[in-house]
Amino acid sequence: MTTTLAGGRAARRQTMRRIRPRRSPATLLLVAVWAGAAGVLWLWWSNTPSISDTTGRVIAAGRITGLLAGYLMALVVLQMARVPALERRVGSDRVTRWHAMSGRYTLSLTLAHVFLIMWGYALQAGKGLGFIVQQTIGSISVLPDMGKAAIGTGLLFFIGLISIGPVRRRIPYDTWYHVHLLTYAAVYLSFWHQLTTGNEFAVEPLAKTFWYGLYGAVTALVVWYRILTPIRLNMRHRLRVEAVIEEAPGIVSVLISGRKLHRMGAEAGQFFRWRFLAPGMRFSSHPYSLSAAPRPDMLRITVKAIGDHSARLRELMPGTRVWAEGPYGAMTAQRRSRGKVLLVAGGVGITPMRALFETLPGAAGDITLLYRANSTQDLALWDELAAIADERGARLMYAVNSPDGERPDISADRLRQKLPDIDEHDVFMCGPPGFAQGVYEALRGAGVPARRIHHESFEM
Amino acid sequence: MRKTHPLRRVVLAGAATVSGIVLLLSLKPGSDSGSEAVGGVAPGQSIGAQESAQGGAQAIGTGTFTGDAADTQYGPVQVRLTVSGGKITKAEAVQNPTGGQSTQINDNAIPKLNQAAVAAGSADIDAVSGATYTSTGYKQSLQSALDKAAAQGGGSAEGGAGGGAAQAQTVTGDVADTQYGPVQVQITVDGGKITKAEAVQTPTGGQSTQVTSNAVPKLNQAAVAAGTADIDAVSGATYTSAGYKQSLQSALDKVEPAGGGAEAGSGAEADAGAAPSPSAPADAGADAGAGAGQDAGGGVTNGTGTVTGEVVQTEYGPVQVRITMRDGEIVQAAAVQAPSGGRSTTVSNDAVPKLNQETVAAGSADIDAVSGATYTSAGYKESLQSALDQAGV
Ligand SMILES: Cc1cc2nc3c(=O)[nH]c(=O)nc-3n(C[C@H](O)[C@H](O)[C@H](O)COP(=O)(O)OP(=O)(O)OC[C@H]3O[C@@H](n4cnc5c(N)ncnc54)[C@H](O)[C@@H]3O)c2cc1C
Repeated sequence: MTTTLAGGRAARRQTMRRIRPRRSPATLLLVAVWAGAAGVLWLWWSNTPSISDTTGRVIAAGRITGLLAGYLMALVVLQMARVPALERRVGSDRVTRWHAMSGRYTLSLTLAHVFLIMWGYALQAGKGLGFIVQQTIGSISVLPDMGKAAIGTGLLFFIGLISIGPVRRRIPYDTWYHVHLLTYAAVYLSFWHQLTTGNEFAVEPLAKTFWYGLYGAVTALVVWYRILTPIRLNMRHRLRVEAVIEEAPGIVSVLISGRKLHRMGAEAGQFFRWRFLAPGMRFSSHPYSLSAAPRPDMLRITVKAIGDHSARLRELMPGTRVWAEGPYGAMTAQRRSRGKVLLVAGGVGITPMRALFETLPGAAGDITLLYRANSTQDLALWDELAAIADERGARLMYAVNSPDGERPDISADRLRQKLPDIDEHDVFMCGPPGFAQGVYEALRGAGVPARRIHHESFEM
Repeated sequence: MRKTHPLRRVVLAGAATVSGIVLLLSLKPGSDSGSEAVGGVAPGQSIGAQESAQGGAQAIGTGTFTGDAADTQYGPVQVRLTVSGGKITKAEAVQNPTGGQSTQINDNAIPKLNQAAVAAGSADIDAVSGATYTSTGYKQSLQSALDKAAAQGGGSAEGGAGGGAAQAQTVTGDVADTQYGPVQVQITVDGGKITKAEAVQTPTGGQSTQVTSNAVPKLNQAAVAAGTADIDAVSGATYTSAGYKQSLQSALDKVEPAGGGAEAGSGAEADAGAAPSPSAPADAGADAGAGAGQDAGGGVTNGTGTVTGEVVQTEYGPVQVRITMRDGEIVQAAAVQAPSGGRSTTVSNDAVPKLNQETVAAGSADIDAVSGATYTSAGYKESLQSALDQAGV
């Protein structure tokens, strides 16, 4: 049964492809983001002839923070629009980290903006900091769209609050996720006051056009890639559960059948977000990687039971309809820059590695897989891996705890000893954070440059 | 996969942002201290027909010129200039955004802009920080007023703009009673067009204040735009709208026909500015201009005209009263400045219309304070008294 998906013809064809390294567009995107921010600051600069006193300075600071927050808000939403260039070329995990980081920053700017502007208005009314609450209430009641903005800001603040580490860990993921979707409402509500009360937009019609353009484009991308694209994908491919197979203790594979699956454009190393239309599972969509190269009629995921959703997959009935969104993820063959590749898998992180092990182009001896698990029992998919290694002339190694529970030695020296030309390799890695961090340092110590270590995290 | 230091990143981002903003703020020049220096000169007092024209400046005619209304996000801004001997002797905003934060901002900005315009003698003035949109609109309208003045000064035969300015008149409609209180509209008609409309009385108190402060600026704008009383009611403010239209119609009925000749200049009530007739020789214009300056500055002749009292500082901000007299009687009273911001706005919105009404009723400064607005009332009475003193009543 384990060989179901091994070594199809498509997979073999893949192994013959030439190596064409593709650089991630991250740097380019960052430059564009900075340029946009500079443009926004310029907008303020060119519309502020002079600042005379403290009041002027406080209000100006409030405007700058407000403009930047408004600009970044659009980008924070854009990061989650599931735009292929971001998901597949920068990497979903990395974009998610950007999103979290810029979200926190934008929220801080928003709060600074509210405080500074209200303080400035209070000063303008000849009052001090103590008047700020009254001033805020006053401004909300008289200024256009400020009621909406106040609700929006409140929502943002609440969303920020439940996203703080300790709070978030206490909330079930799906609950957190659905509350998080309120961000769309919050952004919508706080958008309008930017145009109706924003000084820069009043004076500069071009700025208004640009702002509409920015938010309009982001909205279009969200609608297109988060709603329409998945609808089209699922209408076209009609996915269903074909079978559920036990691979190792607590680890199952789910085979998913559908039509013309090669047209999905999925590659080994990528993942989909899966929603199984079974009772009690409809409202959660979870990311799982393809654990075999996609076949025209079949996809496979392999999942370790660690919580609610992952544990219930074993109960899935064949024929259950599946709603998938994807493919996402940047850890594909395109990342590679060299002939030789080392794949490192920790635990269930084997899933994308298994697919890559089968399909990465390479001659005999070019590909090595290092598989870390707690015990040999936990080495899910081992038989398949051995078969692929045989067929391709690839190397396969595993590292498990010793019987007395001692961890295996994965150090720079040990790696070099096992793979003397390790610094000639591209490294693909997937595993729990602690493990990944340790291996990363060992690899660096063994002379692998950082830009050739490609890592994907299962944490989002 | 490099080690991340979340705390360090937070500190770095915060420090970078704060220092970036501080840097930007410190790179911005402070406002020109020169414009502050003229602060001592009360607008309208520097009537100097003999003063030489500014060197190099375009030759501008003498008289009162109202610029085109410049639309801003929060409402129209319109500037009126009094020009004498080639110099701007007075600048004032006949229309500016009101309501909410706008009132507060403009109470602060407009006097500064007026002063700056007089000091600069051109439209090349600095924007007031915190009121950029008003400043921009102000400059635009100021420029158009200057253009009109220049057209006149250049001896152009086109009398349209200048002649229009000559016949500017301000007319106050009858009070229209509504369910929620009286509505009274005052309009300024210039060159056959309504250039300004404002409500001198509106329903206040509770919900009314809010509804009114929303509806009135819209009605004012609609009146200016339509040029007639045929304007749409503001939804949610049906009674006020109806009263407004009624009073507006009565004001329009009172407007003296355009081209009323030289009589219009002195005969028109309120802010009427007298400019020379377009065909008048340049030197005759200068004389008439001196008269215009005085008139706009608050002259009352034969017990008719408009005077503005002194600014009285109160605990909560300045109060300044303007009264319109006809045949020795106060026909209208309005506060051109009143405390605003936060609660002050609410208090002023409530008290000022009452004080205005009391003044017209009493015909003197002997009016009762409005309870809950003692300071404003006291300031109001003081400014009113000074206006009455100027009027020689
Ligand atoms: C790109 C990617 C690929 C993955 N591939 C695989 C795979 O091939 N095989 C496998 O076994 N696991 C994979 N995972 C991990 C898997 O998604 C989680 O273990 C699973 O969602 C846990 O859900 P739960 O309800 O069982 O557990 P919970 O106890 O609810 O969640 C445990 C943790 O999993 C994460 N998580 C839960 N739900 C989601 C979600 N909807 N989206 C993102 N993160 C979530 C959260 O960090 C949460 O704290 C992958 C994760 C990512 C991000």
